[in-house]
Amino acid sequence: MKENLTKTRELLSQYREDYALCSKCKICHGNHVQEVNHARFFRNCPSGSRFRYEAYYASGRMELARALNLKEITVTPQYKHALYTCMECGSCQEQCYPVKQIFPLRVIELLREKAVAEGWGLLPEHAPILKNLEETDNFLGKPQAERDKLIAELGVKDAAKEKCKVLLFIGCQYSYKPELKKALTSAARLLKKAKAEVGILGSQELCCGAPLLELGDRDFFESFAAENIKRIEATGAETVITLCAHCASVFAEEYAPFMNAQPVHITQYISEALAAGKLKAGKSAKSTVAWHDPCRLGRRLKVYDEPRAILDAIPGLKRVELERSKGNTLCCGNGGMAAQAYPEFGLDVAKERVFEAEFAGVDKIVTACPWCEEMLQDGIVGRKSKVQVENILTLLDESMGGK
Amino acid sequence: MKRPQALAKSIYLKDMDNRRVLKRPKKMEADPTHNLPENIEKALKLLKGALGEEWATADDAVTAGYARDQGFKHCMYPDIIALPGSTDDVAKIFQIANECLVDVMPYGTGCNTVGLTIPLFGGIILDARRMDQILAIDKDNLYARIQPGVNYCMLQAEAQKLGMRVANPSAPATVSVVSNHLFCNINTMASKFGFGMDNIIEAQVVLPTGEVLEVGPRAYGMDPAQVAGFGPDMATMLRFAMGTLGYVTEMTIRLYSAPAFDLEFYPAYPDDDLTDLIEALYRLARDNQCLEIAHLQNTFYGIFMGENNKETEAFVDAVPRNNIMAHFGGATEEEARIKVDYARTQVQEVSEKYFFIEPEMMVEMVGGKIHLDRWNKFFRETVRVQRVRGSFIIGALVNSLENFYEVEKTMRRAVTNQVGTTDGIFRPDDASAYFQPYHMGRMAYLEFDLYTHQDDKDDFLRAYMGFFRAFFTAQAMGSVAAAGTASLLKGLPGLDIALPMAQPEFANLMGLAAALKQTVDPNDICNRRWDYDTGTAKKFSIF
Repeated sequence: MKENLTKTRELLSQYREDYALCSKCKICHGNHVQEVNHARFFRNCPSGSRFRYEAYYASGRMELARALNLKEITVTPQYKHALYTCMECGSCQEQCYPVKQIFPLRVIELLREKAVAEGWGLLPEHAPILKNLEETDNFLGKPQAERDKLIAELGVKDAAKEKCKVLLFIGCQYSYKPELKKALTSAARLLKKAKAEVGILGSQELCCGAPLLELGDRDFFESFAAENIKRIEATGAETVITLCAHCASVFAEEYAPFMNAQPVHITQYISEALAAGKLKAGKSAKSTVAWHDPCRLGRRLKVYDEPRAILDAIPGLKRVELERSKGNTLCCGNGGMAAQAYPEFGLDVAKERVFEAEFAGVDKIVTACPWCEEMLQDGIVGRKSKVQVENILTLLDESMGGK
Repeated sequence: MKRPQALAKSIYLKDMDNRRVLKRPKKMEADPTHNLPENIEKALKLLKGALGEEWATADDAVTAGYARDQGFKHCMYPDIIALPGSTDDVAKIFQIANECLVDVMPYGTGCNTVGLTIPLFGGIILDARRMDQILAIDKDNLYARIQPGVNYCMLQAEAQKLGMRVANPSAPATVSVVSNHLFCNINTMASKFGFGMDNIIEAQVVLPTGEVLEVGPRAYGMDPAQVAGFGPDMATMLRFAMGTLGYVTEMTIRLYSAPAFDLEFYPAYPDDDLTDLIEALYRLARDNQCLEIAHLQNTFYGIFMGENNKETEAFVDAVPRNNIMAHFGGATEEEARIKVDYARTQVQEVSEKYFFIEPEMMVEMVGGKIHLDRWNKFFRETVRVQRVRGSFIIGALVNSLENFYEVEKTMRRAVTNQVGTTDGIFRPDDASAYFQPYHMGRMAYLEFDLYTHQDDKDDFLRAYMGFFRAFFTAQAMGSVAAAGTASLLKGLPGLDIALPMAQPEFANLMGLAAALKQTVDPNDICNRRWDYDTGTAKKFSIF
């Protein structure tokens, strides 16, 4: 492991001006005011909307950072509750940075890093995730060897043994969760149809480290990052395609400066293939769909248009926008590892998002992030909703016959 | 993967250990009667019982969020935060506060800028954010009944769906409609519709004793659409009361029909001279055709038009010094156009130096970087100010129209030629005025601002000092009317003498406010600012 492998290490105190000069204008509490059409959909901070105290909004968390750094207060259980209920969706920063040049999300991330470094951070509910990562190299605690089976199942190259131009970084969730297998199969099929020379790392693929970054354990994250980068570079791949939005953001923000391969999210790759005529969508059954922008793909990487272009390319689908979309998207409820500690809270947020889909009159919420898919599905069950959640790759693949 | 051994730990801890440790500002000075530790403890227990365990807390992590705002006031921690969910809850909070002699600080959405909700003596912060419902919205009779946690963005969105609009404040979209309307809907651009306080039809207020008072038509058992009828109405006592007289839990406010078609026009001229501007503005106001009208000098204009510093600077340099922006509406586009054309002739009659910036030209002038549509929406529909930090300091004056020109010039001189410097600290156009004619028998409204560079944090302090210099210079001219903030200003060292000297009627105002406060709040618990016994304020409450 190398020190300072990825981002230059930053200290919370370097953001002193940000948290000291937060003017409490509360712009971080909601959406862009010119884009709000309904009172209910103004609110966009998941934790603030639920817990209501100032400490649960970015403006209050800036005070948490300030007060702790100045030793005005000490850490209490409620302090940790306020810190770890943040879903790190970045809605606050999306609103605040353009007008105030303040980075509330970064302050929250660094506050979590400080918590880990000082030893008061993390909650008992986070322990299994860390344990799994230590023992199995994936946060689900599954045997790495199982990933080798995917090479044959998907009919792709074993990138650990032979060179490949395009490396598909599958991610922990798609590697192990049976309910996501369909989307994974579709991804591989679509890439092959697009004539991509795809390989995967199998058991050599480690967790990207996104959960660790979200929890503030940057040291441990860097261990995974260093090893993954080494293994990816060894494949000679020119492009690394990520399936998960969390992997995508980590690759783009943390890995990219240290590897030759270009990271892209699968929606970017597929939409380009569609535009270039390498893929042609078939017909889909008539339905009204809405794209749910995963926070990490949308707000962090600004991948807004590509998934919409994919949906627009499928005849039969009528795409509508949710009230909170693109930069104003509402978190699915599964961000920032908050739902891992507070599942009921996560579910509440998911149910609100499902309500929004019902409000828009859609049959399906379409997304491309396993975290969102999982949480939205729970939200659908929780609301007893008729709305369905669908992976964009499955939708496209099935329009092309699914074979 | 083996966990590395605390690589970053040493870095962080070193950083922490080297930090100077400040004395925690929570310690309030000893108070023989209010906010005694044992009473705080008792109050918390009672509040948890009344509101539910979740909605009252004394945890430092939560109180820290209410200890400070963007003003210069040193942070002061409240003892308890309470989040009521209903009028009954608010009443219970006041009852408990009286029983335990604990102060209550009313708090809307917390967008205050000058320490108005910072608890000077500790006590309970009464945060309205759970009370954020639009209770009724009546398209036929043009009103909405709302709770104090509703902000302008939320209400405007719902009103727009029904073809209506709210009178805009010059405040962020996130401010509480109730608080801002009570605070006169400060600096409103909707001159045609009066101040915010003119748009209050009725209100439900929990007095500091815990009693619920209805003011307006509802007090007489009437519908908000009906005239209140005979008898006194106590609605006006709430104006500018800043939470010193209780807590408004519901309010009915006027809405206005939104026109089917909108048109803006932008007369402007480059001279740094306001004479022709005042005349043109006043003519437009008297004609009563435009829905919104305001004068904006270029630096003021820039902070609204630009989304960031770069855009702002481009805009400030590109537009003329003095600009009028007026918004016209009509049932048809033609009707709106006729109004614009007529207004144009009126402005041209005042002076030939006016030229009219076409929207396309304005976009071109600033290199296509300005979202003109969004600005127009700001102006005519949506609450406009979002950029607050360090961008301006407001010196709001309510002034007589005739005196406006001299006051503005004097303030500018005071700012740009400060004592102890050989150069003007600010360029002349760093100081900027925003002027709006109120023509319903009211005075003109002048806002004098100083603009700092948002990236230059030191600039903020310079502007602050400059603002004070300008403020007192203008006050010396007898032009400042510090309207209804009497209940806040009473007893403040110096100000209680200086303000009545500048404005004799202010002494009466303070006397009335004091008497009213003592009547409705016998235990002096609600937004306590000055002592009943001594008549003086121990702590400076604003700025």
